[in-house]
Amino acid sequence: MSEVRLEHVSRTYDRVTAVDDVSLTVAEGQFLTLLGPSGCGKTTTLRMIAGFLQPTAGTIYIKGEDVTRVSANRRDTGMVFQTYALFPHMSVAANVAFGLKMRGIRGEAAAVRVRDALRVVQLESMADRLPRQLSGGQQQRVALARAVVIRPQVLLMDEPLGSLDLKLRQELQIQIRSVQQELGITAIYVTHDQGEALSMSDRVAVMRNGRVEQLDQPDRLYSRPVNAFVANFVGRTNLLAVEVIEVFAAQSSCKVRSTDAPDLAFSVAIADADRAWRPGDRCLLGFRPENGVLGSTAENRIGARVRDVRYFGATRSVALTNALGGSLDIDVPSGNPIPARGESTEISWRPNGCFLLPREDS
Amino acid sequence: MAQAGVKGSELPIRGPADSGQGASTERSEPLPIRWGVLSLPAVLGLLFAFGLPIALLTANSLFRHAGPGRVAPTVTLDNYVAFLTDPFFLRILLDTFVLGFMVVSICAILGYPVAYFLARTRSRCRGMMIFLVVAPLLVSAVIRNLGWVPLLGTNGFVNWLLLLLGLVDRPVALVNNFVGVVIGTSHAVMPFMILMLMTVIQRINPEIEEAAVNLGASQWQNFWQIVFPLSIPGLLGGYLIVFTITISSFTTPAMLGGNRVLIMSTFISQQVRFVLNYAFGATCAVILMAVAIALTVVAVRQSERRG
Ligand SMILES: Nc1ncnc2c1ncn2[C@@H]1O[C@H](COP(=O)(O)OP(=O)(O)OP(=O)(O)O)[C@@H](O)[C@H]1O
Ligand SMILES: [Mg+2]
Repeated sequence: MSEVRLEHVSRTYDRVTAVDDVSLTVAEGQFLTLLGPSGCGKTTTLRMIAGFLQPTAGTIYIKGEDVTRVSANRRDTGMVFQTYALFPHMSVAANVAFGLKMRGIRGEAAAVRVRDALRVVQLESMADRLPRQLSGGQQQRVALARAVVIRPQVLLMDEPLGSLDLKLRQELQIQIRSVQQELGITAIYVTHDQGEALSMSDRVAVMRNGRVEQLDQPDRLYSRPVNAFVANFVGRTNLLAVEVIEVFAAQSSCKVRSTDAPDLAFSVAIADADRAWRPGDRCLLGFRPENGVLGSTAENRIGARVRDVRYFGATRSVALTNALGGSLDIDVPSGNPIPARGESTEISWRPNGCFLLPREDS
Repeated sequence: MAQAGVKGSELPIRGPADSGQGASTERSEPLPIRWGVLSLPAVLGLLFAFGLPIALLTANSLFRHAGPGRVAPTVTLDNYVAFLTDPFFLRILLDTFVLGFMVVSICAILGYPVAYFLARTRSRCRGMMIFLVVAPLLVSAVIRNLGWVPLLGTNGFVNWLLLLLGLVDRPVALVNNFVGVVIGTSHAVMPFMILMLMTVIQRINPEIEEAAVNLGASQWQNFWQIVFPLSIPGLLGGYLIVFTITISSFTTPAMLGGNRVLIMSTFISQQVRFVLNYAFGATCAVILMAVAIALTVVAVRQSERRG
């Protein structure tokens, strides 16, 4: 049974449509991330689920119950804010106990739950501190404890790590994920950091201009993006404009050729059965930098000239200009030899290491 | 594994005392001297325009009354003893306090919703609304009070309204008495309370209120447990300004009290202008000032403690 369900939810401010006909479901205990660039409607969606904003259209269900008109304080969601939003005049323990107090849980019963929640986020020793006596990371962990101690139906997080430095962010990503799994809480997480989305989530909804472009498991999102926007927003992608010339055996693979140089042909293994390609379709061929290799060992090949090489520890990122004048990026393991800057070489990739995408304008 | 990771995040704890200082202290060392020099004119000005009269006043209060308009330079505490042992004078002091507290209460209760609204509204007219709140300060006290007289009189608008609504069956005396002074003074000092509260409420992160509501707080609980405690510094600041202005105000008690309301300011004026007892007038002034200072100290201490 789905814990949270949005059906055709839209929200307009004055004339701006912030969220446009969004439908999605989050199963019990699942971690869903809303991912997208600034202004795509992530916060608006989350605030509608929390009840701080009314949708202009559509219905929101929590545990099968229509909560669209239920006020925020009766929705039983736990929210973690980017600004932490701790109560500055209350101790850490009192902050965590607040939601319990509002539910009529006091005394020893409340104290035990507060202690448990603080232990889960490893802040037991800070119970008597005031929020301003804590570091940013510690404050965010208090905010997390405060949100989960009430055992909400759904945990909502709006860029909770947005104002922390990289190292702390990675630590807290692990901690948030483990707390969520330990307690089996359904969670909806908002971020514009694709790495964060891929590493933490069971499923990711990629949003653009108020719409969900793709909702999928992280690995499918990465290996089978549905369009160029998703392909570029989640990881990096090399794109070539192509035209389908032949489709084989029940959509299992096809042959395409470059629209700029018709004698350049490539093979593509098709995995998404829901889109049927036909000869003559104009589309984009995409492959990830790590799926391309220097040299002509794989089936699909294109000539290229090395433009720049950047070192990233485990890999080197090689930027090339392909034979058609476009740009290509290839990741090469650091030990491997690399042609010098300006040298011509060949790039190749396997048919099952690439995918076809519809053209944006079609 | 997670534990090891979290250990690294235990940043040093910053207490309220050492926040924002440290490295910059050394660089700012030469500043105080220069600023000290630059503030000399203001300090000297204050000393002459304010310190000197107060010194003279205090001196006068320690001298003996020697007939109308004269003091004898013999140092004595008799004036203070006379004031502090006579129920009549103490009653005046008490009435002054009562006036102050009533005005503070009225301003806080009526001003709070306005301040909250102004702090949180995103309306384009917000600037205009703040101007309207401050507008009473732009009108001279005399004009403002002259405006109140016809409104509060026996045949005035307020009584007409009260009769119309059937709340009273005879006109009530709203002017030339204590009630008139309370109304007029509250109106005059309301902007200070509203502005003080507004600035403090503005600094409360709206997400804190949302967090409270999200955790199940009703509007009522959100107000009393979150917004109100966090706005106490604003209430203290407003109280400080409103109370001190009220207990030392003269024009409004004189005009709307109709010579019948005896508080410290009107009483001092009587002593100095009609009775010509400069020594006793000065004594009352010093006592009023001491009380005002004491209350200021208490309020400042309180708001400092709340950080
Ligand atoms: N109160 C508001 N009034 C008018 N427009 C708004 C309001 N809040 C948001 N918007 C608009 O709605 C759109 C979506 O905003 P939203 O805050 O949901 O984006 P977001 O995805 O959370 O972005 P970010 O990553 O920057 O937080 C934006 O175009 C924004 O300008
Ligand atoms: Mg946002």
